[in-house]
Amino acid sequence: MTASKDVADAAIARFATERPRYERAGKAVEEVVGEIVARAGVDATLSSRAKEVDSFRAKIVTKAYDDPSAQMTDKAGARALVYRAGEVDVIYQLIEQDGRLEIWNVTDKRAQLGVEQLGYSGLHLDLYAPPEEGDTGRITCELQIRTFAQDAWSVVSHKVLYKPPVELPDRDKRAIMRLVALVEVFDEEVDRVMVKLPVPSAAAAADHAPDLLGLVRAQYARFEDNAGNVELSRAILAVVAAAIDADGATDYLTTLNDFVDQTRDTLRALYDDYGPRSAMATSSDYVLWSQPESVALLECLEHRPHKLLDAWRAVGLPDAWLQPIAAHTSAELDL
Amino acid sequence: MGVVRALRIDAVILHGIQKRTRGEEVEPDLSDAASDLSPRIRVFLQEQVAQALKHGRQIVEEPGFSEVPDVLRGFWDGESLLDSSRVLARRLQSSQPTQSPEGLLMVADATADGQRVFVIAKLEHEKGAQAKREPDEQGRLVYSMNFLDDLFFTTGSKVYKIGFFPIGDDPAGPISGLVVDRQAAGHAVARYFRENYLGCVWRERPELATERFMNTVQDWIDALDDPEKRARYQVALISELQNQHTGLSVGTFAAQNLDADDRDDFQRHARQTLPATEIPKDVELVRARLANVRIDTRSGTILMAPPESMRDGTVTVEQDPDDEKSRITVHDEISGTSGTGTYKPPA
Repeated sequence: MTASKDVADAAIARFATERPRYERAGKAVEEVVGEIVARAGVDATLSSRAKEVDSFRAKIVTKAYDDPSAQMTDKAGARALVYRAGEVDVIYQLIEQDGRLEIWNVTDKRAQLGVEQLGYSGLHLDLYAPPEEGDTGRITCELQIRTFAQDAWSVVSHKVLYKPPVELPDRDKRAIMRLVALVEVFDEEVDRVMVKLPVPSAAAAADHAPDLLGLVRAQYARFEDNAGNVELSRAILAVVAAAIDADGATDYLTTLNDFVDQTRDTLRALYDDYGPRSAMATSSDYVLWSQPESVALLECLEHRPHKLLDAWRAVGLPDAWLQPIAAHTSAELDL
Repeated sequence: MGVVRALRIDAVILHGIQKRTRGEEVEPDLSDAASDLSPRIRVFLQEQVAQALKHGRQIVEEPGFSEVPDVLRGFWDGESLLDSSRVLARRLQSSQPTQSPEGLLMVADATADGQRVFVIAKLEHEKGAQAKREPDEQGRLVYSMNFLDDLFFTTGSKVYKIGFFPIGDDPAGPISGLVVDRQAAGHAVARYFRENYLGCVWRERPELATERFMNTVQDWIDALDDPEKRARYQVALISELQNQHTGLSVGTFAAQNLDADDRDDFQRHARQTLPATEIPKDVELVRARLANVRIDTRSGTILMAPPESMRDGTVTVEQDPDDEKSRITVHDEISGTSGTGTYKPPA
């Protein structure tokens, strides 16, 4: 049964008023998931949003809701994109183990496909967002977990197949649909190759710069969606690894994660001002703010500034690159 | 208030401060509105202030010294930044000594690590040259140069004084914050700026803070295994306390006196008891400990040596590679011998 016009209008008006709360709910879920995956060293790109009022209205009109406010579960949404298909389940398990976000429904699109069928294969979790003072009920957020390839297909197919400005002929629809087979092949091949790459681990972190890349990317993804320049990352992370090693630090995974947890708000403000989305992104002096390893540089400048500077200068990196980052730490270095 | 990491300047007003003539009232060149802040200038100012605050020293309001704390409270209570800044400019104009040069007063409404702060900075004009590659009249590419005498707050500049005040838990209560003044010899904070203008005194009595600095560094030195290093760092500590610099800083002491491998460990130890900010130096309570370096050995031998004799190599301490003992060498002329004290057998 479709909601009556009065019920629908009331629901739309209520959603328009409450939408900022759903935005915050999505953001809160994004932050918690970001923290969970970063702690585990999983490289995921996260985002969140609240449903647009137009979209809410359209869904009420097209779907049979008795109580749209209660039944529509994707008013707040978050998304986690991963490189490897296997990491979809890893994230699901990590969220379950962490326990801060209560999952009340799981929609596994992969399990819904028969052997002869091809289609979207993401994992959707309906979970409760962290509560806020003043909430009158629990707020549901839909978390979609999928690979970058699945996301690309999903976004395009949604636009072309489900919300086209004009209806496409079946032949064109099929052309889009069959692309999903390529997505499966793509993900399998990526998984096969990436499994051979070194896995970030606490024990290896201090010894091997390549492993650090995964760690810093996971932490950096909590603030910025920017891969940076890999060659530069490797050069800087070799210096970071040398500083960590000289300091005798062990379990850098935990050290870095604790640092980011404790300074999260400050880091967010700094990346807003100096990161890849800021007005300073085009200035060469600020290049490292757009690099994932900046998060490890900030940690080292706070906890082992002199060892970092020694290692930095030993390989001839310019002080001018370090200075804009060091300015925002307690490090007193003569740069 | 310790080190500021994420400083965000939201609004800035500049006023011109004139050189004061004895016996004459001078009106500052007041602005009518806040300055436009492009992203780049905002970030530049933020970094300059954040960098300067690493040399900040902690201060608290001393009632009755100045009306500036009342202006800050008024601002936090809803007064406009423009009106507040105009009062601050007039007050600075009237309180600065006649020898103080002209400059700019920069007043900023900002946040530091999410906390609202008020920044008051006296900035002096600086000179510099600008080179630009451009075609001359014959079409040749040359660098033309311009002389600039209206620069301010340049990178590496020390010609500024800054007061930095975070809003307190009680915005109507006494203010506290940091003051920076790296201009004077030894970085002595100009008294007129700290007391007459900002209306503040040091948060902790400098002689107590200095004693704590010495004790903290001493504890760390005493825990080192290497006797040569202990002797060398002891001399450095005494020198640091005796030099002309008016402030003590954990980071500066580490960078200037310790081996690279020891600096971070020292900082971690020192930060447990000492602030990340500078400490105003006053050696009154530790003066007696600064005259000589004292070395006690297990056999009961005591060596008292002036720091200079250890710096110039007259007295050297080294680890004997063959056993766990140290070798202390005094290479000097004996000018006299005498008996003193009571013999105390080694424990």
